[in-house]
Amino acid sequence: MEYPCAEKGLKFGDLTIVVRAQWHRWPADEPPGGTTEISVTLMRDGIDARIVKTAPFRKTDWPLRCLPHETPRYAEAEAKRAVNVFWRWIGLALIDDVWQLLIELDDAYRFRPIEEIRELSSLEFLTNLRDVGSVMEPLLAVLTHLLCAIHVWRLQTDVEADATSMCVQLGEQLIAFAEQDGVRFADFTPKEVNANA
Amino acid sequence: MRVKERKVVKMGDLTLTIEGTWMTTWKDGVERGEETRVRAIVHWAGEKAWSVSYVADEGVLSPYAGSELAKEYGSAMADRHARQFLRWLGLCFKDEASRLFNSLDNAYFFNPEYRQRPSAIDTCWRLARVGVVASTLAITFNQLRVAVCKSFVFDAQNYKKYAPLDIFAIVGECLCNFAAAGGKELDLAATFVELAEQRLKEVSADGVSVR
Repeated sequence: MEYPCAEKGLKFGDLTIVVRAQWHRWPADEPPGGTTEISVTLMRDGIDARIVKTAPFRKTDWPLRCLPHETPRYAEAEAKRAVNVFWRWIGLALIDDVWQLLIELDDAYRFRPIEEIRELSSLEFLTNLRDVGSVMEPLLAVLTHLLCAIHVWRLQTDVEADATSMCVQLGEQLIAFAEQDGVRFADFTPKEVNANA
Repeated sequence: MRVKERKVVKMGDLTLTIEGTWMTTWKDGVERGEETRVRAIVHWAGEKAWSVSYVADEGVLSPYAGSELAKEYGSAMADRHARQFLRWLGLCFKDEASRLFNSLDNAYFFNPEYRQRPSAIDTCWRLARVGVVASTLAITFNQLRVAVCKSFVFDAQNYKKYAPLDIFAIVGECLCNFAAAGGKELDLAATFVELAEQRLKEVSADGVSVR
């Protein structure tokens, strides 16, 4: 059975990014456990080719031990959560809040062994580090393309704007975007240029 | 130019080859950079060999790489990374996650703690990179662990004898010693027995576990 996917996209300048997530149930797993998979699609105006990066976002063992009939609702909520969390991490990376990003990644993937608090076996540590590494691939793709799009926009529009402050502004917008539930697409191209265009 | 260094670990039906390859990379017809790749080749007797790999190091061409010392330099780089991988594998068997974390962090700087002004994009890039290393290590560790579990070590009589010493910790020590010594081939079964017997003697001599 295919469970509903969640999707949230944005546009900045000539770049369009769509982040999509879907929870897949592991076959013959009872009670149902599964993996939330995240996929990003990067498109540029006027170019047919697109870049697609996919990674497992979160594995959930036994999420609905006593409530198997709730699986579709769980799958939908899990997919929505993944998309929002992903956009939040992009926002944190853009505002360069490396500590908050690290704390949230570590909360999600538990890849730092902490003496007497979080004792990990070497295999647990390695698989957790592998998982965070694989999510970094699409995150890095989105991040680098957004940074390029900011520079391209500055060059094309000749606006006297500092790239760092533009990154911070976009990062804050993305953190807010991640918290908005009903919005599926937003254009973050700076408004003053839209008016000039 | 391309230089390979190989380390072979044999355990029962499994032959595990850790291959470090140093090579120069070309762009626009000019030798511009260098790269060291580590490949773990898993070969079970009677089955087709397969491998997993990662790029251990890459960058601009070092002055040595362009000189007559290139071959020696490349060989040293390939050997260093293959040995480092074996040491990490040893730490996996010893179940020392904290030491493994610190050692991987020393190599790839993915933990921004204690670093000055780490940027988020740099941290993300380093995490993505070390993730591939972790994946390769996890796969190789699992394969070698299966080989150890299938070997004579886990026969009822041997298991009873060696289990109090912590079998996997001894295997880990054998791998770490092999990595430090820089040999070409390790007969893990024979080295295991040698080290385990030595430990048993030490335990029976002073009556105290050495672990």
